Amino acid sequence: MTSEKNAQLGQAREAFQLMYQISQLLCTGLDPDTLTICIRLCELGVNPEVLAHVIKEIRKMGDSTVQNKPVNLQP
Amino acid sequence: MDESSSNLAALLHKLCTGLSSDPDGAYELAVSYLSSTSEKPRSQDERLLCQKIQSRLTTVSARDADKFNECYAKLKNTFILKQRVSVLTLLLALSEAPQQSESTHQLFPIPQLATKSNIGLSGAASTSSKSTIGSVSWGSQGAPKNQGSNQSLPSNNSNMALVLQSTDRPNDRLCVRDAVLAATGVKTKGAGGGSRPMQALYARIAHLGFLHDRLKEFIDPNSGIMPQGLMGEGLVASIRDELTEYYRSVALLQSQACEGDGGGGTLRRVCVWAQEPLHRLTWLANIAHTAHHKKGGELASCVHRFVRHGDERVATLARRLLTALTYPLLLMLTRWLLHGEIDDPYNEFFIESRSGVPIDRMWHDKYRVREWMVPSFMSREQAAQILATGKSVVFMREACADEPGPSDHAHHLQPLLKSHTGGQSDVDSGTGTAWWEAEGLRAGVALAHAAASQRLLAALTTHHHLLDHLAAHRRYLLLAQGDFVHHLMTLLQDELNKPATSLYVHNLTCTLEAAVRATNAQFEPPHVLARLHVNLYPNCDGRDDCGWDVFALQYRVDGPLGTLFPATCAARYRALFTQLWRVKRIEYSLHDAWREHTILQKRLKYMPEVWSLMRRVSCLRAEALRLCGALQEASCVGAEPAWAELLAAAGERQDLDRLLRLHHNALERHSIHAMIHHTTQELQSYLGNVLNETLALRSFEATLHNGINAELERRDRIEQMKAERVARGEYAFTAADEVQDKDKRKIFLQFLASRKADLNVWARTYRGHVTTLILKLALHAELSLQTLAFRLDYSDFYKRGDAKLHEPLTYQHKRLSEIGLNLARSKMLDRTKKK
Repeated sequence: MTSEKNAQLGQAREAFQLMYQISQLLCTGLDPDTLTICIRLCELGVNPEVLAHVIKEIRKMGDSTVQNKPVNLQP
Repeated sequence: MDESSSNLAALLHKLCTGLSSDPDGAYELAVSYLSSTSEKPRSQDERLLCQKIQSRLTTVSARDADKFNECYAKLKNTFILKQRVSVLTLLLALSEAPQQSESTHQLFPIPQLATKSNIGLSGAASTSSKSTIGSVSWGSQGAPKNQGSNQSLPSNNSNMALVLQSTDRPNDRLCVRDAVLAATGVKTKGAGGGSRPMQALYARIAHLGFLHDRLKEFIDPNSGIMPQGLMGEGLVASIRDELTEYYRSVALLQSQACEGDGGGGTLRRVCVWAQEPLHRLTWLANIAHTAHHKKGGELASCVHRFVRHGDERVATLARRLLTALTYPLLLMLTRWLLHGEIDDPYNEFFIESRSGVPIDRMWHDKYRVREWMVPSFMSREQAAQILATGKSVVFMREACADEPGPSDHAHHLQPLLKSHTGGQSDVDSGTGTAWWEAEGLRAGVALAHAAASQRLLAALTTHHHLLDHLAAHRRYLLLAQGDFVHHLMTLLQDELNKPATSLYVHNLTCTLEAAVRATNAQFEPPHVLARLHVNLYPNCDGRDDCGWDVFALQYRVDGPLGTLFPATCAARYRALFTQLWRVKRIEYSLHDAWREHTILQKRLKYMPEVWSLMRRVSCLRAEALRLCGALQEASCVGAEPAWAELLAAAGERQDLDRLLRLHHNALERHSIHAMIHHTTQELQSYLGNVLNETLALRSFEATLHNGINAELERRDRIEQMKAERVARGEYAFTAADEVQDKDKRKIFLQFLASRKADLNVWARTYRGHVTTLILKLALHAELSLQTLAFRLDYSDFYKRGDAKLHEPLTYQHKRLSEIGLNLARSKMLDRTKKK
């Protein structure tokens, strides 16, 4: 049971790493935490295009209010 | 459903806190967006999505696309993610426009041989070989020409795909493999077969092998044609990089064309792939060929030629090579500019240091620009500035014994040098401008040069009293300090009339000190007075000179100032001093003669026979004096602007090279006006004649005065005798006395007559010499000497006396004729315009 779970966990981690790599290749500017949340949101069935739009909007908002917020910068 | 929605909310909130400083506002925004578009996401085609991602990545770099393929293939195998497509959609939507600095250059094209038709064969392979480069996606059917090949070789049936999709014969595969091998210069057997078109294609691909071998030879240290030195190493290393990229490309080609099961590789496709490498390798080989046996800046110049190539690809290639190979140069340059050190084991740097140069010649001789090593992207002035900057640093350290403090010129160079020495990635990407073509190079170097020379000049003027010494040279060696010179002359008069052998430096030094004490020179700072000396320069021919010929003042400079006043300079100063001193002395002696004359004049009341002669001598002396005065004035005034410029430049602390130039120029001007310059050699001899004649006048007057004095004394004695005799009651004057007196008077009259004749001869000679001098001055190329000729004869006195001066060669005539010429020319121009 535990070994199966471990394997699943490892697989999940690997998949996440791959996703993260792709994310970096595409210069999305998502850090690992944000990416995790995004993946989970997608798994829950959120429309990805709308989500992308939301993230961009939030970034824009953050940029205009706080200039020195390092969250949105590329890793 | 509730659970999932609460979960969703929590996640959203987390996302907002992570992303924004104002999570609540962001959350509201997110919720409003998400709720407003609540319709189901349209399911996207995964393949289409992948293609989109790939096309986006390939615009930046093919390498990234490869990586993506790899990741995607792995991702497909994991089944943990259910909404893979939607995540990818999200990522694609979020992906930003590619930034230039992030891109990695792609040296060689990634072979994409497989065609669209085999996309669905297998997951990973299909995506990886998906054709995204349109130019390579040829029709899937083999070219009809290939059908002509019917060589029977053992058929390779293992690859069904190939056989299925193209009508190529099996030996084509072999041929393709051979061709790929040939591209890396590997010899294969049986490649000669095939139809003529195939052979042509094959030959085309095989040319890559030839180029590859040449490059290989070039970077092989055993071949002997590898360029030497560090910059050569840089070139070799970057060519090696290019080759590595090429190998990688070939390896990918091989894997796709020969081994992969989706191989659609035909010879023609390989040939199409080969276009780009062929171009690149050809130019690499060209560059390598021109770089044979070159090193250092020469090498950089010869690669720089290719940077100006019209083809953008060639220019980029050359730019990358040049950046790599000039890296050692940048290091050397940095070291030289900041520390004044040359670390150049292979003699590649464009500044060389010569050993065995004494410290006082350091500025002039120690460092030199190797003209042929200056890279062509650097101008000659820049090289000179770089040389001067480094020299200033060395000079400060060595000659001025300056402790290596924070050199302020460094910060001008900081942005220029640091940004490039540190940012290796910048150089790699080839997108940022390299240091050698950066805009700031010229300005930075110029600023650093200005700062370094300012610092040097500041040290020279404050610690070493440069300005004082310059002024002192002028005052004492060029006789600008009038009271001192006059007093010294008065004190030395008698001493210097002695023969040179009986003069001693210590006696003269005492006289000099006395002259200093009595005049304004005493207010000079001690570091100036300590350097003022007397020296005797006996002529080497051993002729017995008088003291005037060997005497000279000397101003001793040492230490760092020796650079500004080197030995050659001292010799020029001495020559100038000798000439000026000579004129001064003649003028002085004429004044002396005038003094004697005036004293004598009072006693000549009863001697009317000498009046006319004395008057004539006076006139001639005045004439000679005026000439002396004009000469002195000319020699000082003519050089005045040059000296003013020099002093102004020293005051503004301009660079040392400029000061040296100005100083040299001032000395030149002074020499020209004193007529001892090498361009005025002819004038010098004529002037010497005039001066000698003037001296002859002085000695003539001396004899005349002596004779008159003797006669006067004799007459006085007679008068005295007469008075005594009258007192004793004798006859005052006997017949014998009268006869004797008459004889004496006769002798005196004869003496006067011969003196008169002498004077006439002298006057003729003198005027002849002066006339020649004026004529030669008027004919001299130097404009100010021409005006001097005019000044010497402003009243046309000599002109009236000599027909030669009427010749159309004089200054006035020249000027007039020039005006006439100009008038005629302008008239001609007008006429042509009218026409």
